[in-house]
Formats: sequence, structure tokens, C-alpha cells
Amino acid sequence: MSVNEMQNPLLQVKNLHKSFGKLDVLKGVNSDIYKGDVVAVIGPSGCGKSTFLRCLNFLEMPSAGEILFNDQLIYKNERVYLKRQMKELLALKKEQKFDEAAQAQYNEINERYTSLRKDEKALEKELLKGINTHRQKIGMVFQQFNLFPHLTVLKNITLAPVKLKKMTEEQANEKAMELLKKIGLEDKANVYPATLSGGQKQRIAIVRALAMEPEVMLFDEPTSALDPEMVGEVLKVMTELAKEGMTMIVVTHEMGFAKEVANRVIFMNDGVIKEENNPKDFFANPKDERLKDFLSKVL
Amino acid sequence: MFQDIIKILSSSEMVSYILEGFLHSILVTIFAALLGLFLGFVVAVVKIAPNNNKWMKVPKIVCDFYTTIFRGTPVALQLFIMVFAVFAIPGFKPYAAIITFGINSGAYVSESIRAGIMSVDQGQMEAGRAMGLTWLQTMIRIILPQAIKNIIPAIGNEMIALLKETSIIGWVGSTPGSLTFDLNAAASTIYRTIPNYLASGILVGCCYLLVVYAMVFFIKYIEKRLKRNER
Ligand SMILES: Nc1ncnc2c1ncn2[C@@H]1O[C@H](COP(=O)(O)OP(=O)(O)OP(=O)(O)O)[C@@H](O)[C@H]1O
Ligand SMILES: [Mg+2]
Repeated sequence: MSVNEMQNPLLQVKNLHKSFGKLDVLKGVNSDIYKGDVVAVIGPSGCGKSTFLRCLNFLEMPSAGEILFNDQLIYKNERVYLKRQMKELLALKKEQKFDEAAQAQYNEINERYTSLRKDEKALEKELLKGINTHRQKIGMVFQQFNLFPHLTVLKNITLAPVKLKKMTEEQANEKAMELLKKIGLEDKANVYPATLSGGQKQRIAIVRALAMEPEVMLFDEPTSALDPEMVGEVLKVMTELAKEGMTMIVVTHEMGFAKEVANRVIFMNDGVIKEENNPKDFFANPKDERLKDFLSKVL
Repeated sequence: MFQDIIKILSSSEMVSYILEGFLHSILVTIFAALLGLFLGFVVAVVKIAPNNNKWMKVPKIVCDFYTTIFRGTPVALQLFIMVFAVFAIPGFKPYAAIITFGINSGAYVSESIRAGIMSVDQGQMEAGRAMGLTWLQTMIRIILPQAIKNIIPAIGNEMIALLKETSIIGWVGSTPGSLTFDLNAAASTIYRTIPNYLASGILVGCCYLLVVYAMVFFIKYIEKRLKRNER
């Protein structure tokens, strides 16, 4: 057992589900993220990696499951399962099989449903109220950088910390310059994003998220939109960040990063985590058939 | 015809009609434009607000109804209904007309603003929200400043159309001295003394052209200023 696992997880995800209409994307994702973890998430296109990340900061609202952050329950929805069970029981009526036992079962579930509903609704309200505070603790880096083109690099970085009253303007500027210096882009503070290369943009997007001093950073394919020669500079910044102890969840196709920087690798497929291991065993002894197949294609 | 134009221009009474009409056309347009811009902005933001907010449900329906009605019926009809039915208050005629033009224009402006906002990459809203900014903060600080570049030319067009649209204000009756006495009304009044439609028409047309030219110049200037802080 590593040192990490002796403390409680920073982020606990239990049986997380997400559907878009009829399309079930996440079908029960379970994962505990500890402080200092660098988790690489890999998997075929469309398996729900982005959706998983976006559920963690509620850019997508999950459909069911449980999320705890710092041991605090922030999302919980189990009533949908009960609702489904009740529906199935009611369907028996059509087949004339709705007997006393079914009625009793139905009543029992219904009672649980009613009591759950109240608590969960209250929690949901709480979440919606606190959603922006929650997001401030979670940095996110996107595939397409999403820098604000109408603001200078410096303003891109300081906008949120100042607007959200985390820092004064001077503090934010100081912090931004410090971060920019670290990635060697302090001379770009006053230019607009349009003049930057892709690699520079993504490094600044990382810095922008860091300026909020988040507890965990989510990366959604941060190097996938870059020209090959720029991938390295972005990975270097991420590696530094990992060394400093930042908790990171990184959806990536960069197997080198997963092998060398991550301490855990997760393989997602069909909306669930199919395999999870330390990088060494993950790549040396994959067990899941689909993972073997996937690795043979990307390695 | 030139003789008639000279005749109009050398009569101080005729010239005063034109000047008064000129002033009133501009005033009516400005007030209607202000109302239209305000309404259009509010309606666009309501329409674009996320669907999951229950407080937005009724306003959204109201706004949809508003744009459907006011873009779906002729402005002349709206003018008659507003002046002679809704606001049938003595002495209120010019204001009812301004309100009508403003409300009508707002329906078009709201669609221009909405389209401008929609043209901003969705990733911008996500980036703002992901950092913990509220929807409104992101809208004001990140989305709107980018959308405005796409909105200004469309709104400029709408303002030019509005100026010419106000020329029907005289249809509800106009007398010199009232705001309803606009350039078009001036042309008809002049015709009664000097019966040459072409002469008064050309003069009044030149006045409209002059205003439109100034507006185009102004819009171009704003566009240029907005483009300046791009890089
Ligand atoms: N907002 C949405 N509405 C409807 N369907 C969606 C939405 N977002 C994602 N999906 C669908 O959910 C599935 C999973 O998408 P997701 O983006 O999570 O996959 P991914 O693993 O990140 O894939 P990729 O490697 O291509 O980024 C896809 O089939 C996608 O079409
Ligand atoms: Mg993705």
C-alpha cells in the first residue's frame, strides 16, 4: 500500500452514469483519486473519456451515481435506479403477473424512492448553488485551448482569479508573471493569443487554470490538436506539474506520458473502466482483450 | 424640374419644412433605435440563457412570442394598431409611433445579437464556466466582447432600415410642429404648394442619403476600432 492510499481520496467516484437521451455513455464508472495522483485515462474514441472528465466539474450533469470531493458528498443520484425498478414492476401489470408479492416489493421501493428523492433533491440544489465554488477547485485544460482571443495573455490568466475575488489585481498579475516565467513565456504577457503557436497557447491555457490554484487538474487530450513538434513542450510542462505534486487526471493518446509520468493508468471502454493498474504492469501485462487489442494499435 | 427645386430652396417656408422633417426623422429614429437596442439585447440574452433554468421558462416563451409577432406582421399594421387602439391617448400619437418602431426594431435586433452570440465558439463558454465564472459573468466578460464584432454590422444594417421605416410615421396623420412631421411628411406638404413630386422627392431623398451616409461612416469607424485590439 502506498503512502497515498493511507489517506482518504481527494475525489471519489462511485457507479457514475451519464446518458445523452437514449445513448448511455457512462455505465458505472468507479474510481478513487488520491492527492498527488497522476492518472492517465486511455481508451478508444467515443468511449466516454471526455464525458467522464466533464462530469467531474459538472460541465455535464451526471445521470446517476455518487461523487465525493474531499470526503464531502457533492453529487448523489440513486433514485433513478429505483425508478427503473418500479417501472419494471409496473410493466408486469400488462402481462397480468403483478401479484401481491410484486405489489409489496413495489411499495417498499416506492417508500425508499420517496425518502431518497427529498434528500437528493436537496443535495442537487446545494450543488447548483455551489457549482462555481466547486469548479474553482478544479482546473480544466481543453484540447482546443479555448484561450480568450479578445484578451491579452496576462488578462486571460488573471480574469478569473480577480473576477472571483480570489486575488487582487496586483496579486493576480504577480502570480501570472511568476507562472509565465516558469514556462518561459513571460515576454508574451501582453500579446494576444492569435499571435501564439499551438504549443504556446496550450501552455498558457495550463497556466491560466493553475492561476486559480486548483486542487486537481483535468486534461482532455491536451496535445491532440498540436503539431507533433509542439507536443513535447506541453508534455514537459505537465511533467513538471506532476513532479510538484499536482493531482492530475489526463485523457491522452500519449502513451509515453502514461508510462513515464502517470502513477496509474486507466483503460476505459463501453462506458466503464475496464482495467486499471500502475503503468509498468498496465503496459507489460494487459489482461482485458480489448486493451490488448488497443495497445497493439497505439504502441 | 430644376426650377421647382430652386423654387423650393428659395422659399424659407419650404426650407423650414424640410429642416423640421429632417430633425424629426432623426429624432424618431434615435429614440426608436435606443428602445430597439435595449429590447433586442434583453430578448437575445433571455433566448440564449440555458434551458434548464426554471425562472427563464416564461420569459423565453414571451420573447419567442414577441419576435414571432413583430417580425411576422407588417410594421404599418403594427403602427395603426398601436396608435389607434393600444395607445389611443390624445397627444400621445408620436410617442406611440416611436414605441412601435422601437419594439419592431427590437425584434430584428434581438435576432442579430443572438446570431452574433451563437457565432462565438462554444468552447469559450465552457472555458469560462470551468474556471468557476457564472453564466452571466462569462457572457459579459468573454462572449459578448467577441460577439460584438459580428453584431455591429448587422445592427448597423438594422438601424439604416429603421431610419427609412420611420418614413411611414405620417400615415397616422401629421401636422407641422409634431414629431410625426418627418421628411416624408415634409415632401407631401411641399407638394401642395409646388406640385412636383420629383422635385420635393429628390430633395428629401438627398436628406435620407445624407443621414445613411453618416451612419455607414460611423458603423465603419466602430468596426475598425473593434478590430484594432485583435493582435
Ligand atoms: N452533449 C452531447 N450530446 C449528445 N451526445 C454526446 C454529447 N457529448 C458526447 N456525446 C456522445 O457520447 C459519446 C462519448 O463521447 P466522449 O466525448 O465522452 O468520448 P471520448 O472518449 O472523449 O472520445 P474522443 O476520444 O473522440 O474524444 C460519443 O458517442 C458522443 O457522440
Ligand atoms: Mg474526448
